[in-house]
Amino acid sequence: MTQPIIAIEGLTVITPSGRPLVEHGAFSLGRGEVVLLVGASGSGKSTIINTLAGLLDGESDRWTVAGEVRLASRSYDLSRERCNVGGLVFQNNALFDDLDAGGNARITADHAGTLDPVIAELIGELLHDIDPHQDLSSCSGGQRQRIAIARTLLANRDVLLFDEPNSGLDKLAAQRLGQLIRRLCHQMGKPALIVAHHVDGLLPLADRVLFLDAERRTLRELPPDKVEVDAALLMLPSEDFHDKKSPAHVWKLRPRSRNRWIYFYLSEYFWLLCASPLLLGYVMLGASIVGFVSIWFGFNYEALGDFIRSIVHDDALMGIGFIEITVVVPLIACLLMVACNNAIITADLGNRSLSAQFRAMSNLGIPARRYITVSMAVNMVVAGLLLTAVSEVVASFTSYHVWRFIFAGQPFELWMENFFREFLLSPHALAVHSGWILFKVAATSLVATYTAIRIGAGRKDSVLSINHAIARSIVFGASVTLVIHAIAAVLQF
Amino acid sequence: MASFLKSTWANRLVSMALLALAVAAGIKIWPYFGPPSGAVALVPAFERAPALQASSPAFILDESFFSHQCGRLFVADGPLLAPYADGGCRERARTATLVVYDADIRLLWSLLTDAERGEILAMVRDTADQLRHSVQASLAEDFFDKEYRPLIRDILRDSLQRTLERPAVRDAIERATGSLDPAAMEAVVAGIVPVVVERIEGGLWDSLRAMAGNLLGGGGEAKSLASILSGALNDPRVRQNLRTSLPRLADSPGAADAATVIATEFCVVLLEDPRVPQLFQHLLTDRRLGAVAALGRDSAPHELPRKLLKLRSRRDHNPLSAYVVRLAIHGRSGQVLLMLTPRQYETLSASAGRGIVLIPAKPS
Repeated sequence: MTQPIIAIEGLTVITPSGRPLVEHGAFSLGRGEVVLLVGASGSGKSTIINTLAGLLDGESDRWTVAGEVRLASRSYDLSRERCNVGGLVFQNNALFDDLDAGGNARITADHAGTLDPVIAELIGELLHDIDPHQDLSSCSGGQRQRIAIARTLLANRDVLLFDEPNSGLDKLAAQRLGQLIRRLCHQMGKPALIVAHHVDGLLPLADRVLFLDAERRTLRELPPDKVEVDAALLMLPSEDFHDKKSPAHVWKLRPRSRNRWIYFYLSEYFWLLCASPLLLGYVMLGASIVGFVSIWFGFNYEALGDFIRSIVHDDALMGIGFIEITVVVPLIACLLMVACNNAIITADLGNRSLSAQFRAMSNLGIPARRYITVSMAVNMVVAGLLLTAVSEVVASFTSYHVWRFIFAGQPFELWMENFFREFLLSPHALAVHSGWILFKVAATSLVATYTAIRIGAGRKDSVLSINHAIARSIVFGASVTLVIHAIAAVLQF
Repeated sequence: MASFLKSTWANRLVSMALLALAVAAGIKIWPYFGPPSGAVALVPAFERAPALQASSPAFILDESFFSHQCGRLFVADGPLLAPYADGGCRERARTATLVVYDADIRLLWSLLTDAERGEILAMVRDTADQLRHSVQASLAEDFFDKEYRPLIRDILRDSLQRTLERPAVRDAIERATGSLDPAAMEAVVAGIVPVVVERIEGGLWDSLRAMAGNLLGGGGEAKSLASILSGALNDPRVRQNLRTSLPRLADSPGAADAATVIATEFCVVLLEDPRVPQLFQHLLTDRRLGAVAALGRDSAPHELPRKLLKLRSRRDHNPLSAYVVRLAIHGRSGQVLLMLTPRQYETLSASAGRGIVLIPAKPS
């Protein structure tokens, strides 16, 4: 091994659930070295490089990390401080798909400080066949990977970290990638630590191999020899590492009725689109505010004067109740529901589209679009009716208590007789206005769902296109809601 | 715990809890369709009772005769009192004397205590005094003398002259004096009118001030108008003329009719004068004549409605007063059912009458 430029000692990583991945591990990396980190799936290889990339504490759960990382210039106590000595090339490249190829490089360079001329030259060679203005969606897999590597080089960290860079590559492509990494390391004089599950293409180019023994939770060095590495991997109990505390799972696959899947999706979207606590909570909050505002400002309107408030009380309360129940609450409930659910539907369909789930399901003979869109439409109508009913109740309840606060000592029935007067006096009026409310809610729900599905299920090239689709879906859905309610109100009265 | 809170089941539990809250709120405020339980069938205590309206609010009164709405009287097959469940209304419906009154302003006046009526009358007197002083002060201002007085004088003089020239007036005078010598009639008119016009011109503004004072309750200036008229009558020319012609005119059977026609035509002529609307426009918009605006916040125009409506504080609500006033504003008639204690009925019946007394119907 060449003179080490980074040494890690006493490395211990324990998962938030308390499972140790490695205990007191130690290794070092020399100038220009290429080191493979191998081990079973789930054994913690990626966690080790995330630790060196300073990404572990970005998780919401609490990991336990200990050990020391020493460089020539400084050292890190991993139990107390974040160590970001490594620039990581992610498994799926994690390119910023709202930027073009050049943008991905430029944004990194702009945040890295000075640009090393050697690195600039290397990047020029690395990306010579890629137009800087080229959209990422039009780049091949290899080009995207090279952009990701170039972006990491620009960050100019002490170590290059690669998380399964050969995933999905054939042996020849993996060898070419290995050669590229090796050349970059030699030219830059920096080491590379590569997490690899399949070592065939990379092993001939590696200087050393580190083996993460999941059973003993130790790191030990293996010779860069395929036989030795395969033997070590074969010694593991199975391909995937399992916590001994975890029970073994038994898979029972017995074909049953396909209809259960429509029920499954209906149920899944019911809890998402109709009865999620977030949606219910914020629709109820909106209804409460409507109930409060209409009574509070209705009766505290200064122009009413002191004694006029008493004179107009009954008729004003009737007017407020009538407008609140027939117009304002259905509109607010539908607007809030559509804003939330259109975003959910569009994001859901957009992600399914981007991650090729629809194509996979189609390939497997699963009528996914029918299951999902029908479930969404049914649940949107149910959500509209349910949330409007809940909103009517909450707004009326709030109105009653605000009224009670303003007109202290007056009986409940006085409020009820006047607030609901229009409906109590005439069953016909009750039926007609209920019909209009049902029509508005159902029409809004269906048209908004159609809008969300159309926008969400369209072609998606990137996360950014999903974001734009969500925004469009909310705006169109809310606009449709406003228009339908406005037209219905004109026809209703 | 943290993982449970993030779990699907925790979310569903929260959702169901929220829905349960909404259901509970709905039960709390769900309206009654139709008369609620506890309704009491009633019949008039006397056979020849006036008709009752289909639906009337029912009220109880507290010690100070302040009303609280406490139910509703429905009349379909017979009177049915549906008392509210809130506030002991049902108990009161069983024990009270139930009396239906016409819902009009007299009822509101009857519900005021003697002390409240005294306050209102004192307030009206104070306000009238303030208003009278303000008007009189405005009429004495220089700007009024310069800008309004000449115009008003011209309008009155022209109107009087045109009135006497109108055919209807001439016909009425002719009819009244038909049996008389036309020459004598002409002599009376020609002898009196110029003198009267001359006198009015001279003392018009004193007359107006005196009239304003009289209208607003003052009495001290009443002699001014009388003095103008007596001055005209004391004029030697008029006295001489009347002395010779009055006996003949007084005996005329159409004299009263003629006077009516003259007065009516004078008003018509006055209203036809395009200067009159302009004059009123100026008087109403002239900030220097802001007599009403000068009235204080605590004076009657502001406080009177609150007192009449029997509101105890700025934000109070008196449902009975509000109901009566709304009926008056809409030009509708209506009734109210009062659930009174015997003492309240005795007090109220002295000023508002006996009303229509209802008693519980005997079970058939």
